[in-house]
Amino acid sequence: MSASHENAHGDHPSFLQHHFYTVEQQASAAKFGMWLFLAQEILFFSGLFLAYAAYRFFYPDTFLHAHEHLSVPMGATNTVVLITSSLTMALGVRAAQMGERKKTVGYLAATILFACVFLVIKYFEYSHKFHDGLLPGKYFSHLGMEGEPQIFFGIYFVLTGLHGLHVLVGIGVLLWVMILAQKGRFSPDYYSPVENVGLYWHLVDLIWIFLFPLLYLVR
Amino acid sequence: MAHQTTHSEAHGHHVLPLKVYFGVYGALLVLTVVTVMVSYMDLGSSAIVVALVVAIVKAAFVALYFMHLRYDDRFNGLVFLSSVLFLMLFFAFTFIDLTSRGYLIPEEGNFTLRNEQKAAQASEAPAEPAAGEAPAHH
Repeated sequence: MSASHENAHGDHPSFLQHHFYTVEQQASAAKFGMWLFLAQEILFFSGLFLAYAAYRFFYPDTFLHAHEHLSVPMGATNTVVLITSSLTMALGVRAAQMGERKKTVGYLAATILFACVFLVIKYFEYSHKFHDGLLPGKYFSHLGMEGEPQIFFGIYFVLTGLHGLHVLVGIGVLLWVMILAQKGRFSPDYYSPVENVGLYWHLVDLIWIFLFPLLYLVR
Repeated sequence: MAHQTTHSEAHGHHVLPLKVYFGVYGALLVLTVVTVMVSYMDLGSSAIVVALVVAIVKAAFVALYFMHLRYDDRFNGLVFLSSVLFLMLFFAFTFIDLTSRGYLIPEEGNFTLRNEQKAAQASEAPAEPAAGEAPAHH
């Protein structure tokens, strides 16, 4: 890891930790660990998706009417933004696999940029909801809606809020990995951090792929 | 593009050609348009099924190509699918409960869904002036 390690152990690469036999073993263990984490993330979100499904089952009309207060153009734009960020992320991992440092940094920067665009659009959506009193539970104050719209907006805010938090965390980790890439820490033999932040980022995209039709396109 | 050679190959990681990434990107964009367009067609109760099928296809593209599961160690795919399996179990058992408890002891009415109550009230209200000759079903 650190520079002082570099020459201390002669024949094995500085990035190879002592508890692994080979570079390949270390890389596959790192990726496996990431997949375990992603499996946990899926289960973690599944509770919220189940809450969505259960309340939609209880209050189908409420969901149908309340969802009309979400902006389909904004949701669709954000879907395209996230898919594009997933592409730049995948290209960033590819550049890292090929040892292209400048391209890796560039694609990571592009991914961060698209993540910020996503959050800016989300900010405008949220501030519009706040302004109209379309809020969860007892904070709901929008007049003239039938049913239990505060439940829909509770689920909307928790699901999109938690997803947004993942985007925010993603931006932080992407920045960190981008700085490491800039410093030349990665090579075709060692790019696990790029690959793993990529897997995380694609999962954030995957979750949004389900959130968009479920929240914005209720029929 | 140039397949990064020798050591990449030797270490078993697969550098996919660029056209795979752009092809998947194109497919994801098309499917996003499809899911929006389909939502404006009047599909009734099958709209949710269509929306979910499109979302699952998109998710499969992302997982197989962007996340490399198609080319990766199968064990990582197994981990991913196992979480999906448990997600489905979670949904299945909860919905077995949700869809059956309202009908379990209907005469005691100890669990009536709120929207069912409202629907019942709404359907009873106009029937009330008609001296109630229609047998109420509760």
